[in-house]
Amino acid sequence: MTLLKVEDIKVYFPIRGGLFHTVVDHVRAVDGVSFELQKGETYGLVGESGSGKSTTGKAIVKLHQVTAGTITFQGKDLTYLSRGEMKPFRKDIQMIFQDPYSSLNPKKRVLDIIAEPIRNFERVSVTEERKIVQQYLERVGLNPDSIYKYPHEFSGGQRQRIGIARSLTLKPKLIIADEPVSALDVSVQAQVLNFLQDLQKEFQLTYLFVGHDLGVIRHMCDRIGVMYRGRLVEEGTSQDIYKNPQHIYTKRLMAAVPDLSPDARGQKIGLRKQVAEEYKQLYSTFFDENGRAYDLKPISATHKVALP
Amino acid sequence: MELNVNTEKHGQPIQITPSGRQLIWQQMKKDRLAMGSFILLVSILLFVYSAAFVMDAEEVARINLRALHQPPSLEHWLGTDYGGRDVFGQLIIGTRNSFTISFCITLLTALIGLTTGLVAGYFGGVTDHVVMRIIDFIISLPTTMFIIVLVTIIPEFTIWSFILVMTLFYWTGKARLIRSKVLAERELDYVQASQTLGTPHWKIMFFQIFPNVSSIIIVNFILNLAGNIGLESALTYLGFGLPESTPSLGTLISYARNPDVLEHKWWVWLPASVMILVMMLSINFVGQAIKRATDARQRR
Amino acid sequence: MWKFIVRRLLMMIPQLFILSVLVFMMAKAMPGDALGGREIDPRANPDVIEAQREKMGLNDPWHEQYIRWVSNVSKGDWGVSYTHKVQVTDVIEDRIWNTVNLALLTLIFTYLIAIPLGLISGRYSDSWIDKVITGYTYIGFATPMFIFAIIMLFVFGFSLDLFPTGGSVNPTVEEGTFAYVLSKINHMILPAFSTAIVSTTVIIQYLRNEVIDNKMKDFVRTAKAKGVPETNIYTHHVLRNSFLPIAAFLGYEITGLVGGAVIIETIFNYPGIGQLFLSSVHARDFSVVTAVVMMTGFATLLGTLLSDIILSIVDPRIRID
Repeated sequence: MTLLKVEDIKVYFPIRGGLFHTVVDHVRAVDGVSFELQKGETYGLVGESGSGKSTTGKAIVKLHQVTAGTITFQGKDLTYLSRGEMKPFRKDIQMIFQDPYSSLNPKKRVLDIIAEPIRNFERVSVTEERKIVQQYLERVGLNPDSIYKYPHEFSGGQRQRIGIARSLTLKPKLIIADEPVSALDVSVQAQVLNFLQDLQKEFQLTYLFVGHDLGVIRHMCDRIGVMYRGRLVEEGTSQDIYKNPQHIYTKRLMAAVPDLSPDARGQKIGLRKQVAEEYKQLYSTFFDENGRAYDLKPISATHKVALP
Repeated sequence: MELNVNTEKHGQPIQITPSGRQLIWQQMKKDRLAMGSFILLVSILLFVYSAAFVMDAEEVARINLRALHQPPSLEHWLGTDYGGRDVFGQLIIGTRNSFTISFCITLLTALIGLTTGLVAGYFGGVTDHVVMRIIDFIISLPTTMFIIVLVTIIPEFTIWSFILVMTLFYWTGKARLIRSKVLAERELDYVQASQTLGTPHWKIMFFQIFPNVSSIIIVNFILNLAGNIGLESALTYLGFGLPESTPSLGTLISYARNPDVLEHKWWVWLPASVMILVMMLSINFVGQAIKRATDARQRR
Repeated sequence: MWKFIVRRLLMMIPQLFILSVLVFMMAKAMPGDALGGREIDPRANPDVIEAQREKMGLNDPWHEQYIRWVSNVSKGDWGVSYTHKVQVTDVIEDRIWNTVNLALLTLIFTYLIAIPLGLISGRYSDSWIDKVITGYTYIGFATPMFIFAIIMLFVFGFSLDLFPTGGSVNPTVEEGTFAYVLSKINHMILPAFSTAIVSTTVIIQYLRNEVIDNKMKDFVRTAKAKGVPETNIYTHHVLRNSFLPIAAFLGYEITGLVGGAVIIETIFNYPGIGQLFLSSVHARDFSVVTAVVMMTGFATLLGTLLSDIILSIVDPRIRID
């Protein structure tokens, strides 16, 4: 069952200039991206910084206004809904932010932070609200007694768990996780990732997982879309992307993954050089004259590549 | 960083980190000048407000032709003015009026400045642009002259019209300051998080962003309070401040526009001048100390 | 950068328009003919008054009156002064140079005090002398100028009798002589100094921070390493770097001085524009009031324009706005 369908969305930011601050050009942050999310799966958007992956995620929750294209959630077109009309869907689509330090209001107690969505959507008594908050705190592995603490009293990993608890309280169907572990210590990353997977099973969540760490993406995602300069260059199952990359950019991305075994290291360096060479040579066949990637073309049932 | 003592075994959560208010208070206590100013200011205000409460304002305002321009004596601690009125009594009532009215002006400008600053900074774009151009314009007007003209042409001039006229011109500085802080604050993820949680704009502005800019608002409020006491008395000195029926410190000083009073009857204008100086200095010292304390807290 | 300057200049057009509309509205709210200063005898019978008003065009639609006023003003016709019985421009011309001279002297004092104190305070930061100067800036910042001016007048004008206590020149000296110039300056010293000593504190604080910031920069260290004497580093390198930002205060300073002129000139009984303004308000000579407000409004707009442009040259970040 298709939960979310994104069709050819574009997010352009105006560049103003000249004497009267008129719009002289646009930054094409997202430039025609389409993908579908099936219920219960984890879809990964991967790419280097500035590739438009975060912008795509934020456009779905309407933190950025879409310039063109449609976003359909459970068959409902969300693209041009007003703030008020969007409100009921806020419950179903939630977001986990990248930076656990700035995504929690430093002046608010944990109780107020986690209860914020409840207060927006439900009418519950103060005691009940506290009970719900404590229950979610416990679920994310924090001491339920810490509801009166402030964010600065927690570590980065704990803060991210608070952020996750906050996004869970409305029992959403889709969670957009915008690089949820990239600001955390490596030792904590695995913890949080496994925990996100546990939650997925427990609450039947669908994830749109935005990231740049290929190891993390591989660990988490069923299907992956590779973004480059605001466009998808390749899409497929984890297997497709990691074992059989077709687009020259994907290949280069994969070659950049560091290998931990010392034996393979020399081989890896050679491979990387080879791919870089190939990239230079084949650049014009994979990108059009403006350096823009072509539209995706299916090469198997699950695998699509941007080819001319 | 605060020590994070394990609170679990106590069962009850214990707050280990002192709140912002406590921290500022701790810093203040270390600053002897600010603490002294604070105590001085509070005692002056307590004395003035209770004395003015007990005092008979009409008695103070009554003209006594047998006691014109008397130097300080046991009967009149600070002498009398050209109408034979007790200067000390006028000083008390004037201080109370000056402070109360300056407080009202500061409060009103703070409310307007806060709201416009929040709205302009939060929404940005065209809203911000329009608001900022208005503020730039008002700031570059010859404010004193505009106020004087308005005071002259407003029929039935009252305390409230004075407060409103002052507010009209002095909300801009606050709005600009708050707007610049909010502009930085709204880039933080917690604002976006609130938006995805379905929190309405006004709630985000007043309940999410506001607590994070409150310390600069407090400091600005205090410094403005001092400034407004000066502004109010200066305008009253010129004869375009409070209406006659409401004597302020500026009223007493305005008698010094007569060179004879300035040169020979210092007891009429000097005490009020000293009072303004003392109040403005001590309010400023307190404000500066709080500013240093909040800056220090932000640095950590 | 030229783009910013052009855009900033273009902004003057709506600003001037709004200023003129505001002044016009205030003038219309004043009794009588505040724009032309022509007399209407309030004791005449209502029909006569009405006929006069009709003839003067005071009953025309407001936009016609506005356009007429603006075109008159652009031709230099500000109407007639009711108390002085002459053209408003003549009244203002008599006074304006006093105010300009006083402002110039105040600016000279302001920078004469600010530059050495700011440099010393920044160079020897955290020494006792810096603490004294910083203490002075704190007090100066908190002191209302008018009270300080009154006390200065009381001490140096009346008690010590060192300076004149009113007027702009000694009426007994002959115009055009050197003694005349000296007398003029003598009358300006006390008001200019009283203003400068309070308003300069902002610049001292700014300069101090600027010097402390610059101290750590590479070019100062390089100069030191090359053996440039310490004093030279500060006077040549640091001051030069801080010069434009200080100059940018000039425009805002002008705006402040114009506002302060009303108070300072009243206290020192100095016949400038500010005093003219206040006495005209008292005398209900509204044509003069209107003209003075419009002109000073224009002057302060120019002052901010000047500062904005200097600042945009110094600090490119401002131009983005």
